[in-house]
Amino acid sequence: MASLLEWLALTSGSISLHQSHYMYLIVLTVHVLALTVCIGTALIIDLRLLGVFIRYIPTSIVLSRLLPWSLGGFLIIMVSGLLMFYASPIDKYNNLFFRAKIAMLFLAAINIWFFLKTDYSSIKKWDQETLPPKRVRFAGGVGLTLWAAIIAAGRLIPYQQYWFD
Amino acid sequence: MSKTIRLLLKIISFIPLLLAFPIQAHHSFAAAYDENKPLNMEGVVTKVELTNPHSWLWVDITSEDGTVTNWGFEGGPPVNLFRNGVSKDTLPEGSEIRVFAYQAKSGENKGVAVFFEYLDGRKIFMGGSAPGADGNPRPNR
Amino acid sequence: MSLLEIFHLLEYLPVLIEMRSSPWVFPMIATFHLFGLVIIGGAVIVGDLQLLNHKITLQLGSLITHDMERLMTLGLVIMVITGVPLFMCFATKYYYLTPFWVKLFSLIFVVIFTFTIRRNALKKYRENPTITKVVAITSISLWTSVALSGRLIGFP
Repeated sequence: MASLLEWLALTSGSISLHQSHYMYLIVLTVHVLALTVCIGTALIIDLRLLGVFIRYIPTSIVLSRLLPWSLGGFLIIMVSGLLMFYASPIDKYNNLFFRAKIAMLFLAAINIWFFLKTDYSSIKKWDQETLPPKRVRFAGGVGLTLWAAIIAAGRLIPYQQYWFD
Repeated sequence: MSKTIRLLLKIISFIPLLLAFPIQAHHSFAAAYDENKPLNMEGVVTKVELTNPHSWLWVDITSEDGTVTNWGFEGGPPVNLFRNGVSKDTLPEGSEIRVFAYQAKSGENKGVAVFFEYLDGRKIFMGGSAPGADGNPRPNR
Repeated sequence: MSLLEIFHLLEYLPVLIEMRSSPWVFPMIATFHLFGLVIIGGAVIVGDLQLLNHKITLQLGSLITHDMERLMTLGLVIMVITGVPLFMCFATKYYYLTPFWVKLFSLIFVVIFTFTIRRNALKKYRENPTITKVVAITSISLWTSVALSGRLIGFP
């Protein structure tokens, strides 16, 4: 892994992005502002799953209308995030907060996948409920907590210069 | 407010605190500087890293007893330094400079630089997060 | 006392010096500032897009835009409460930063706009959908300018 990252860090793309005047800062800006689209809509979805917001709208409608935006926003965040990783792969790899962020992203994905596999298939049963079933509410709560933790971890990445395992 | 929301809010508010803990516990935390520990040093540039999001100047400082330590000084992103006239050509390795910075809280040989001076007196501001690094006038404290 | 001197005073209040001497207080406050951004972002995007009768529309009607406005207000409160210490921490630096002033004035303008013109337009949605759409687009544009200039402040 270490040698792969070293090789990455020496590619001309990585170096020019790392030393760029505007490109890196633009990528960072896109990354942060895409949060509003991605997590802003995810927030409303999770709040509906928790049964605490816009309860008069069936959950399936909230999901079908907002998920595409959340996914689209997520795609932008991923691409910009990958670019920033590419700019300084070794520093990011050694960064405690970056690692925590990636780990939690996996957990969030598992949470979403699990929800889609189980309760989502039976959504017609609880769609109209103002308060969805317990497991659905749990998924919503876990999702919200993870997004908050992921954002916090991301914000803290610059605060650790070097950390050797 | 329902019980769930209150619980959630408590958990979520706690998270930044939890994550911030390793910052305190961990030794090499260099991004925070101490305003009460100004540094005035002179040395020879060993490395210039004009990188995002922060640039770094590495300088060999010779103390009175002759020992040489390598210090790192943080500045702003490359675009800020470039605007102030810093580049691989204007600041090659081996340049002799004086640096004014604030020391890192971790006690490491690192600091956040406000400006550096060439020996002929030309002053270059580092454009980072140190107070005054933008080169603008401020009232005296 | 000049504005710069006032900013300087704020920056060096004892509580601010304390705040800067701790390695984690500033990042914590900044994180909550980001949480507020996400909340406002979601509320404004979904709220305004409702008015544009876009595919995102969940339900035509005043109830949902009202709820989105409540969510937006929550986000706004969080951002202002965290924003004040963040500003004071680097007040003299921001004094000279154009994006800071752009953000401040856009923010004041968009908040006044939201609670006056936009609210009014929401009430008249059925009579005059065109005006509502113009208001929605204006709202999104203004908030985007706040967010963008805010990000420009945050550059190292």
